[in-house]
Amino acid sequence: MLSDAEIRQKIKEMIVERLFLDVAPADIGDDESLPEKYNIDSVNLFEIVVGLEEVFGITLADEELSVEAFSTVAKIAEVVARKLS
Amino acid sequence: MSVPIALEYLESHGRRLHAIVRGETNRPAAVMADPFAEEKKCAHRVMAEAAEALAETGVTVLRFDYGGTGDSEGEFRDQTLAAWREDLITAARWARGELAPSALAVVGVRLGAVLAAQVSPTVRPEALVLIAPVSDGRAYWQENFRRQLIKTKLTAGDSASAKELHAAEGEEYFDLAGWVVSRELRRELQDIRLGPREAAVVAARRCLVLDVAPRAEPSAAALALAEALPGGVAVGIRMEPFWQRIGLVDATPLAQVLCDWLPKTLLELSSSGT
Repeated sequence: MLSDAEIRQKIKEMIVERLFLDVAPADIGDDESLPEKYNIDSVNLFEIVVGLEEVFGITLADEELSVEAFSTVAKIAEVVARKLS
Repeated sequence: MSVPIALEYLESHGRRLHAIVRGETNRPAAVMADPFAEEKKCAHRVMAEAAEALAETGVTVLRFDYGGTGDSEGEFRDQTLAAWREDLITAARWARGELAPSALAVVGVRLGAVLAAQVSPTVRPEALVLIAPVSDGRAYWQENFRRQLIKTKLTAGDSASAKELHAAEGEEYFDLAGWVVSRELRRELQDIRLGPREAAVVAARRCLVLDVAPRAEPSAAALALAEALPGGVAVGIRMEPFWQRIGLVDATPLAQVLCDWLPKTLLELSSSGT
């Protein structure tokens, strides 16, 4: 079972890799607004959803795709933890 | 080096297709097959730059718009994959006849890669390049649907319902990010399969599968596809999915691999004959 910190770390690594961000994963704050800080648009958000499914082996239903739930690493981690449990 | 550019109109089943040729006759040539809908729009600049780079190496490149797209005749809502396959065959035959190439390649991106593989038994190109080919039509449609859903939620807020969008999806025509997709086209898209089994019918002497991903190693799926293709090889490129990016994407990694592989391969195939 992954800890919250491990989930957040994996999410940050995935976001940096998939969005080709020029920052270190550790530099992304847990509560930073991803759309505001990193210009996350619909294409990037889709990349994050696909990345989460690949990295954590989860499936997100269409109804679970929410802009608010994917706005920060901490909120994304909550979604992942819920799916993993 | 100055490469001549010519604007052409190709006659394909009663409609005119807009095409651009970069390069000269009696050279190795490549016909490019574009991706689908929004992906075509996003990929346009990268593919134009890759075509320019290829033409500089001495490979004459034909780019064209499928019917109902770009500057070709027809309405997008009336299109089918069957019609686009015919358009690609028309373009390849035109290239064979008018450009008199020493060897011909078809370079397909995403959906274009699928169409290129499907028409290869008719066109019989010497080489085939499949860039990030769509392998599973159902997953591809779902991917497009989800992207549309996310876009809707970003603009209309989280109150936008997936159910409503699914209901609209069931109609005769579905607005996919501004592209009106008919039920027939949707069914054809969902039926797409391009894996080792489908590779068995591909007709070309050499094939290159280009995996474009955050990591430079080709995926297991790309390797398996390449292994099943005639003379197949898979290469990974670390590059953003340029068919999804509206902003600037550096075309260099793609152009470099194409320029390394295609001229050399086509020259080898030209000199070795059939």
